[in-house]
Amino acid sequence: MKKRQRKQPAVLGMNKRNVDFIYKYNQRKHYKLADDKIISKSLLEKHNIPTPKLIKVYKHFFQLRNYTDELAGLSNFAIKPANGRGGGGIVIIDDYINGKWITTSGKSLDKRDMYQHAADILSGVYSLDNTNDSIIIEDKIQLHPVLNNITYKGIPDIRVIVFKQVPVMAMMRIPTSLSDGKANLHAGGIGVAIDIKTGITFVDPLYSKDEIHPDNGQKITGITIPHWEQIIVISTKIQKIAPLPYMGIDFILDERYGAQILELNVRPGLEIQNVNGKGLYSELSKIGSNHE
Amino acid sequence: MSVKNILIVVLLVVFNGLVLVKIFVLDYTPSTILPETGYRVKLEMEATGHGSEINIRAMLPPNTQHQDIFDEQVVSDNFNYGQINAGLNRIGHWYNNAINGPQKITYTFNVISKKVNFMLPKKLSIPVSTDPNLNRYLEKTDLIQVRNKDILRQLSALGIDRNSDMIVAIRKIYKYISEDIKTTGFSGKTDAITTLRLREASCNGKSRLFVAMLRTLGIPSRLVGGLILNSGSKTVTHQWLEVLIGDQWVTMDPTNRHFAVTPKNYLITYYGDEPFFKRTSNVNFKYIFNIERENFTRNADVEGLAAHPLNIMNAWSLFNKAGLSMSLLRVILLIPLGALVTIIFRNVIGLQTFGTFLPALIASSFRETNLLWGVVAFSSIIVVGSLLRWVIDKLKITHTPKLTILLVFVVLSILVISATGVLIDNMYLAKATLFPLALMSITIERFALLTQESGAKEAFRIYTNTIITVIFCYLVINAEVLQTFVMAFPETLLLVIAGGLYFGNWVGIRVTELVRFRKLIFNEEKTA
Repeated sequence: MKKRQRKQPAVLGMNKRNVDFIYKYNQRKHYKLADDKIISKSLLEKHNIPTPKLIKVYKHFFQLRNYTDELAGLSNFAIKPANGRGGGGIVIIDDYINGKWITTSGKSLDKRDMYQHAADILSGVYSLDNTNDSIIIEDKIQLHPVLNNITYKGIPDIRVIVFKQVPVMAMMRIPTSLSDGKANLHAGGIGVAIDIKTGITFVDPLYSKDEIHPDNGQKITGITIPHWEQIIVISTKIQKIAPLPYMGIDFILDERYGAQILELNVRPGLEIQNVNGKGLYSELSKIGSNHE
Repeated sequence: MSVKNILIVVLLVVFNGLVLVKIFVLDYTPSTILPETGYRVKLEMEATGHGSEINIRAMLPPNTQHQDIFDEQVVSDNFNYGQINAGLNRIGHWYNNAINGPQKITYTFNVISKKVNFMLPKKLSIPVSTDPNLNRYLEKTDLIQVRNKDILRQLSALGIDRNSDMIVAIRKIYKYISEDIKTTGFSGKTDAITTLRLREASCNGKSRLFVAMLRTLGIPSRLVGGLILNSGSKTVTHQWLEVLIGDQWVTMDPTNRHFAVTPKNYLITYYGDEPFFKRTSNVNFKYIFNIERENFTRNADVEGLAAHPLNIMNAWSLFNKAGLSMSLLRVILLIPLGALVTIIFRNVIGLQTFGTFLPALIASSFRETNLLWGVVAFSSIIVVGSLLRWVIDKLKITHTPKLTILLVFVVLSILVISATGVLIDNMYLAKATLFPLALMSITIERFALLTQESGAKEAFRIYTNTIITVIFCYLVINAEVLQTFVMAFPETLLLVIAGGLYFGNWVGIRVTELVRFRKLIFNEEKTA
């Protein structure tokens, strides 16, 4: 029989990502290490891997009775669903003024808004599978000045795709006025590729021609990401403690603590390929997908 | 070969094996499996009584080689009903000794007919009949003036006599009556001689003249009464004739010009020079035929299939006992096929939709409303529901109670839509009650949440994807051919499993990804 010789496309599609990488390498019982931020954070803290400090966890509705009282007067913290998807349900509080909490994007929330948001999280509105969820209150990071310089009303994050302990591809996602402080690309954030070897940002001509931030005109290319070595070291180390061989890691850069892990992703998105102007599959194959 | 591939091959082999066994060993034939196009005919009659006796007789269509009549239903109101067999004809008889006020009678039946082309011999002499059974097809009546001198004159003008070739004679008479006698819309009866003299008549006059001329030559022939089947309502009936050529009765219609052909949409109702209806004279009698084109699986075929082992038709008889309908069984059997369509849309085409199986379920609930009205009802509930959800959200209510309120809204809107459907006489809308209620409220919530998080544009994009998928699911689930096929071969569902296995480890690029990564893919090909 004639053996079919078909060239594998360099681009990784959703089906191939799921079947040949996520299902093949990541065991479902380990998903919670990434999906559940409470488990994820305690694992990271146990192994001294930097992550924003956990302030409080709410798991049950009865705990919400004192929710707003306990958060009263508190500023510089983030409220997140423990099993959130796509950054949904995350609220970052900068300040507490006159009984109201002020978010990074400038909205002010009263007690009822805060309670409603908390109840939505617990009901599973933002969770991966729409089942009950928990609330995480964690320390708000102080953005590193290099990144603070280029962002617009929000915190840029750094995504690294790691396969079998090898960092494969990286990008930075920067909030814009369009994205309302969110770093998500589909919400309107802009993606900038990061050279995995040097940690220097670039824009691939296939993806975009803009080398400046649309809101503040700052140059977003040619920036050396601070603490890049630390990011690479953490990226290679992480899979020894969280056995998920195909993973996306989201970092943030704190002025005080350096690179911190924001969250781990079992199903990292595919848009990073467009941002880097390069197919992921060809990169992953070099590491060896053992694909027949 | 992987386990999955082996399983797929096994499923395909089992499926093919079962189908082949059924066809070659158990004698399934396409006609028992595939639905046929036919008509549902409803005859509505109305008579108003004044306390005295009423008799109504109507001709009922016979089964012939041309037409198959089945599923006859009679609703007689206050009348007694009986059926009379008179020779080749069946007559429905409704009667009551003392009847008052308007009375309605409906007689409904289904008919599957086929076009019949008659093969005529090249040459045939006009036979000298000795068979007394044929006398009635040669006889002279008040309206069919056989051997009248005008008719004899016309025959000799056409150059025909008893010694002519029979086929040639018939062709000449056919040509004369269809071309030289003008067709008019006379509503009453016209006899042969009047037709000949006026040189114009409606179908019954032309047919009588034809019969009179044939009988004069000694060729047995008879009038046929019936109906031309076209979708819609009508009161106009039709008449044509049959000629005995050799041993077959051959159809001739000089009015609509069919020579030795029975068109598919001709419904034979009776033979002979009979009226369609006979009734007591002093009642205000009205009638109308309502005709719908429809695809049928014949009951006899269904029962035939039911007799076979390994057959879902047995499941159908169970369904029947439980009072559940065949169409429900069809939909249940076809939902997995709808789900397979959904898989293809998600994993191969790459359209994101609301809910995994929502499109298949929505599509199956459209079976009573039809596609257009289903989409209208579904969309209005989702859009209005989202507005309502927006209002509820202002009241800061937690998730599950909010879904409950939305569920009440969905139930109420379905009632409103149904009621509106009844009021404006739109029976499609009236049947919107089969929508999956809980799924609808979850869809409203997701639609609203998506609008909030990613904007109305994104929400409508996913909504459009959902509707596109629903449309394709609907087309598959409601394809009559597929339905009948799956009912005859429920093992088709094995193919759905095979499809699930196949697409379950299909790692190709999705169509939408070709667009999303077009620059990368295009660039790769350029540099390769």
